[in-house]
Amino acid sequence: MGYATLLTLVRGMSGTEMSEPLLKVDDMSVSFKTDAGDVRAVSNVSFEISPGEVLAVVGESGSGKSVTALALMRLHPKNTETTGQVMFDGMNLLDLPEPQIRSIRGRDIAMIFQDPMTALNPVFSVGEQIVEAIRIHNDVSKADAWAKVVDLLQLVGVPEPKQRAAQYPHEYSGGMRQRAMIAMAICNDPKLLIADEPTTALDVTVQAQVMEVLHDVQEATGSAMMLITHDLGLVAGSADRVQVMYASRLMERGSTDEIFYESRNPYTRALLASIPDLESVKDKLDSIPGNPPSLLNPPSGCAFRPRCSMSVPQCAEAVPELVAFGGNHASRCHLATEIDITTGVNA
Amino acid sequence: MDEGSDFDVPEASDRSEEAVPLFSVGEVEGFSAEDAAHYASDELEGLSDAPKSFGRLAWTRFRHHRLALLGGIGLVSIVLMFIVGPMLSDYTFDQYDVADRLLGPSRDHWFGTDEIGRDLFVRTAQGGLYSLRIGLIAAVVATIAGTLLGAVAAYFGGWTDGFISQLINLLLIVPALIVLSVFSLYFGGDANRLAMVLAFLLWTRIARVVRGVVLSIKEQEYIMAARASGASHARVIFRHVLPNVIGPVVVEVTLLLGTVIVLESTLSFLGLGVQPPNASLGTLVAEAKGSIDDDPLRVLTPGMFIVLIVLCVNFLGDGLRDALDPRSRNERN
Amino acid sequence: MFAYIVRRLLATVPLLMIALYAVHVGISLTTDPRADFYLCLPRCQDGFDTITEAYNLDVNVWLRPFTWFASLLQGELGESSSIGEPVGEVLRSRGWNTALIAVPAFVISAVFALLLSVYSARHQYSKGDYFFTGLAFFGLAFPSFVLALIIQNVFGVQLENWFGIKPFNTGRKTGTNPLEILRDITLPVMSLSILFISADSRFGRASMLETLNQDYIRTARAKGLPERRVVWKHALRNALIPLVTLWALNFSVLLGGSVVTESIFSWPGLGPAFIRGLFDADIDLILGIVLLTGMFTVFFNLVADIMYGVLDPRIRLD
Repeated sequence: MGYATLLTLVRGMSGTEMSEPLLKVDDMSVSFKTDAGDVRAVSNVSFEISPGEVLAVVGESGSGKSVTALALMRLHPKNTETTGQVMFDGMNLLDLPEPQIRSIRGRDIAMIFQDPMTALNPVFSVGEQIVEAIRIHNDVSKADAWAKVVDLLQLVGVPEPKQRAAQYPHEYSGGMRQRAMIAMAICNDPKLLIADEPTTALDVTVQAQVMEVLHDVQEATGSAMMLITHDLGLVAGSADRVQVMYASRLMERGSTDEIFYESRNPYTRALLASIPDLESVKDKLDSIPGNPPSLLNPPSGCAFRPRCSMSVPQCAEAVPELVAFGGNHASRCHLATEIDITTGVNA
Repeated sequence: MDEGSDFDVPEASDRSEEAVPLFSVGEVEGFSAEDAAHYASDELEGLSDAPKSFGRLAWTRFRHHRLALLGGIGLVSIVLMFIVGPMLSDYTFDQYDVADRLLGPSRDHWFGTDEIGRDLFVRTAQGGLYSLRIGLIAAVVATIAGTLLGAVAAYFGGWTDGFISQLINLLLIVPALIVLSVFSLYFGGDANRLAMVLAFLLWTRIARVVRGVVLSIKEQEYIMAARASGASHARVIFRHVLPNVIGPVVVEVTLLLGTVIVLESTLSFLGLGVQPPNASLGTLVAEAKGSIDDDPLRVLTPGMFIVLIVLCVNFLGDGLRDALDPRSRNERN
Repeated sequence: MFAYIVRRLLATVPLLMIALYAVHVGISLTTDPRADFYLCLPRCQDGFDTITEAYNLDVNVWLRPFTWFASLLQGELGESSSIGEPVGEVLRSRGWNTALIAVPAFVISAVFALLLSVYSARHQYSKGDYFFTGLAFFGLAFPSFVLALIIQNVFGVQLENWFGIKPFNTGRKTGTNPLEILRDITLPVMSLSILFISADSRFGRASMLETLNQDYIRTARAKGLPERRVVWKHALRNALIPLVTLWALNFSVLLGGSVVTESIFSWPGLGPAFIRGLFDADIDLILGIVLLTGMFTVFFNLVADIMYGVLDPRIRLD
């Protein structure tokens, strides 16, 4: 048992586990170097995840949410610069030597990717790929690992798991592949599961099933989860806390209720307004006008300003600071304190 | 029996059907837009810079491709030298003077003289132009034939496709140099006929590329719409299908040009290509190879011109491929 | 699987026959083995008739290939007029000599191309990558004869001039024991390897790069696999799939004899025999070589397709 694991155990026993975060990201920035200049995909993001907690990270394409996840595990491309601190189990993941970060990947932190059609290696059987994930971190026999794979596939709802384990990814449907990915991710009982848009690439009918499986295994294993999605609707039922990202920055964070019912950020409110709502009959769906800004030359001041219905001259002058509202709730907006949270977004 | 010819090598890029999002950031050493786009595709595709037109984008990418630019400049300089050089020289292509035989390079004879005292600079220049001419004709003919046959095969499918595909297979079964040798020994000699023989063998690669492109275009709705509105086959092929294959074809022609020049020089070296009194770079090497041990320069000069020309052409082709076919940017140098 | 192989082979037999037919007619139409006899005709009528009969020259050009096919069915390949031995014998002895340089050249080029591809793809845009891809570009631009002449000159002649040593043989085959054979084959093998490494490593690099950019590679890394295993297991298996086709093609080309390289090094393989047969209108020899090389092409293409099916479970051969 490694020192780090021991440390968590000791911490767990000391009874402070709920206040002690599992993962603490401090002032992390990620930039890609291109010849047109640096593209800053993540700017000074800080957040925490407690053991067993589900944190949803929400944002449009290009908001930096996936890059954040990849940077945590140091899976981003080589010529990317990451600054800041990512504390996990008392270690800073960002300057951990390669062998050590490898022993964390897949064992302590596991990831589920967006597109199950391409995330599994086509030339190895699904079983082989999960067995590999088990055996790289555990000294178990092939037979034992294989038996565990069958159990795992059963757990995530793959029918006839024994036969299915020996099949290749192309013999699986999209939903089944994502179940297999989930089985692979939980095979070492990770402390943290990162699910990067786990249902985006799936058929609508399958999305709910996969989400349910994910929810069940998260509860069964007690691992924390970072759920990355652009779909606020997905968040409502499954997340404890939500943080909203826009153009590389954290826009708002809070408990799920705070975000849904007391949002103090125009961007969050616009996102909420664009969720289709069966109860209120509207002629057309609200959508946010315009496109996300270029990360190469972002607009001055607040990045959301050009699309914001509430913008004031001040917005062009400076990037607003995060304004805290007690507890964990915070919003990045010059007008955060002035937003009338009693008005429902769908009104 | 052809060594190092690369005309029936499967394309790696054929396997990637996913479109790499066109990304407006451009490329750099170390980290290219394609990497960024790949690793963070869902993060960065939302960049909302004003979209550039395909042509402008292609030109930008081509310009950024330093090697392609170098290839273009190199090729133009070589051709200029081949055309202008002999005008400045006092000698002509077949003017000989046995008294001046086997001279080394001098102010008078820039590249020296050969066994019967002909000026090697003028011969190299003329031979180089001859090689380029054959290469160009062969590449153009092969391209036209390959494009038409490939498009027809894919467009009509069925029996036509089967026939043309089998013809391509047939030409693949017999190694290229054998067919070339048999035919060029008896039909060769003259530049145009030699070019035809080369084209006869080399149209297959282009045909396969075009066939693949057309097969995918064919299924698209605008083609069906054109057919449904009563356009003739010829009109659909020329108006709707062929314009879409121009990009890949331009790239293929350039790469083909390099292949043809190598093949022609090889045939000529073996005595199966260009026949005296004409000379190409290949025959110049063959003429000099007997005395390579005493005078390696006489072999190296025309030999290195072949290498330089092919190098420039390949750089150019590579740049064009990057510029016109965003899918295969992986292969850029 | 067996049915697939049989069906594939059956499908290519007609193609091979058409190719042989075309070569036969092509040569017959353009050459006449009796050319030398016309001037002396009444006097040398006997010789004229002998050749007419030997080559079936009184048979219509378009029908003549069938007599060749008929004797082929009886396992008869005819007599090589330029070498003066039965074609079967020429193919066997020359084929062995060709294999002597083809097999090492194939193995060396495949191994090096693979190593370079993996290196270049893993260190994309590094100095090493630029160096090797530049070298490959350069190598690709070399016609085989220029390269072979340079290698022959540098390692055969100049090495002796500069250092007074001659470690390699630059001329014809000299030895029969392994060390002598090694001395004989080194330079031709080097020439061929350089050409094939240049072509294959560029292709392999592209294939490897594309594979390394796939999502499942990221999955493999996210599992905590060491980079070595990610590259050599997960990426390689996928990147090999297109390379295998290329290698099969290369091997059939090499086994068919490299006309230029073998000629320059005076290597008694199939290549020089073919050139000689061509100039001497030795139709039986040419057809024999076309048959052999055609069979190599067909066979190794089949091998490539079977390998494809083995490497890629998505492909089913039936």
